[in-house]
This record gives sequence, structure tokens and C-alpha cells, in this order.
Amino acid sequence: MLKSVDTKLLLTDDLLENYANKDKFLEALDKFITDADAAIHESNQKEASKLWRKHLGDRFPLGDNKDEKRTYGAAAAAAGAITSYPFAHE
Amino acid sequence: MNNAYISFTAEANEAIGEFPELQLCVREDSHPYLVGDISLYDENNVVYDKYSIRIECTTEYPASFPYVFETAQRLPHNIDWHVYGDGHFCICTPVEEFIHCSKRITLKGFIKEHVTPYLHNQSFREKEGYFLNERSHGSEGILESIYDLLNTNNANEAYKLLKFIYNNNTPSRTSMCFCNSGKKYRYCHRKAYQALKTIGQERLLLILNYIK
Repeated sequence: MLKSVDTKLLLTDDLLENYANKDKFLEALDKFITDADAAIHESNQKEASKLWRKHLGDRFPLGDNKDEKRTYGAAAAAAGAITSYPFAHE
Repeated sequence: MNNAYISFTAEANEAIGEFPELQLCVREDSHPYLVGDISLYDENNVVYDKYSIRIECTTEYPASFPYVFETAQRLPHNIDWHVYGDGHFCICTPVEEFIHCSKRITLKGFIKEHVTPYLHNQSFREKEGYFLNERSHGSEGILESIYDLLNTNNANEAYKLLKFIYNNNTPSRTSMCFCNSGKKYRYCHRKAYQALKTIGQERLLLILNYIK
């Protein structure tokens, strides 16, 4: 019960209410999500690491300039999943 | 036993013939369901993965998909994984489900054409960290499926096309397309018209009101 009450509070609270740079923060967060998504989908390690570095800085190691090949299982799954577009109501 | 349960039970043998690791369970006090494993095969017909599932008949079957659950606690109940809180899969958008069901799905066809690709996609997600393809959540995902069907990415255009489909009988195959592309109807929106018209006026109106 307590958990559900807490969740409700979180959903209705504006956590950035008193934050002066709210718009800038949300814009940066949006860019981070876009680049993180692109990095996950990028098969070249160097290109993917460049995307992570844009947001996480040089502490994130620069990857080698080589393409990652899909494993046997992932390649088989990709072939079988070609017609699948799963969805969900929010 | 209602008609949905009768259809589901009657089709179960054919489905089990194709997916022999499933078995039918029928009880007096609940709806029928299939339970067991679905093996996933690679291009050389070798099993590379397997999911334990339960496929439950709903009272609307076959006008709606049965509910499918993963039973080995392998997939999190999280909409980011396209699994609802109660554990049932969200295989496609309601618009796509309307279209598939209007073609009179069978259990075998449903498992082969919808459940198996979905499980391949889940297996891919587990291996690679992302889905091969997926829809956005909520209204955005529904719009994406409508845009794909109608080959547009504009909500006003989609609404106009849907309204035409709702209000008009099948155009002549030699007429110009109702989308004003300048192409013949049969080379342009014929497939979309046929797919959407077959879902019925009631469901078409639901979609129209949704994107209005």
C-alpha cells in the first residue's frame, strides 16, 4: 500500500519545479537519450564510444575502429524477428 | 462454453500439430489455454532458443488476439519490454490487431505469424540490448502503425485518407488514387484501403475518432 502511495506522489510531483535551468536540463537529457539510443544501435565501437563521450566525457574509453558482428544467436533472432513490431499502451 | 472457447479448442489440435511442445488445457471453471514451450529456429532449422508460454483464450477470440504470457519469469513485466503488468504480451498496436483479426486468424496462424516473431524479437532484445523493431508507446505508436499503413507521416493526411475509406465504397481499380498522388488507385492505396475497410465500419470509426 505504501509503495503505491509513494508512486502516486512521484507521478504528480514536479521534481524540477524550483530548478532555474529546467528547459536546458530537459533539452540536454533529451539529446542524451537520443545519442544513447544511437550508440546502442551502432555496430562500430569507435563511433558508438564517440556518442557516449559527448555526454560522459573522456572518462568513457574510446572504442576500436571495428565493427561488432552479431553473435550466432542474435543473427538468428534478427532473421526471425523481422516482422515483429511490439507495442504497449502507456 | 461460448463461441470463442469453442473456436479456440477446435483450433488447438492444428496448432499443436505445428507446435508439438504445447498442450491444451480445458477446465470447467476457466477459459481454455495452451501451455508449453515454443522453440525458436535459425535459418538452418536448428533450435537456438526456447520460451515457455501460456496462450489464453479471451471471450472476444477470434475478433481479438488471445492473451500470451511468458511463464518462466524470463521477461520482466515492464512496458519497455512490451509486456504488461499482468504479464501478457503486447504484440502489435490495436489497429494492426484489428486488421489481422479481420482476416480470421487461427491459433496456428497466430502463433506462427505473431507470437513466434515476437519471441524472436525478445530473444534479440536479450542478446543485443534493444529490439530489432518496435513501436513507440501509447498514441505515438498507434500513429506510427497508421502512418505505415497509409504511407504517410502526417496526421492530417492520415485523417483525410481514413475518412475517405470510412465514407466510400471500393474505388474502381482503374481510377486515380483518392490520396491525389496522381497514381492509379491499384498502384497506390489499394492495399491500405482493403486492409482497413475489412476491419469494419465500427472499428474504423474508432480509429478515425482517435486521430481526429
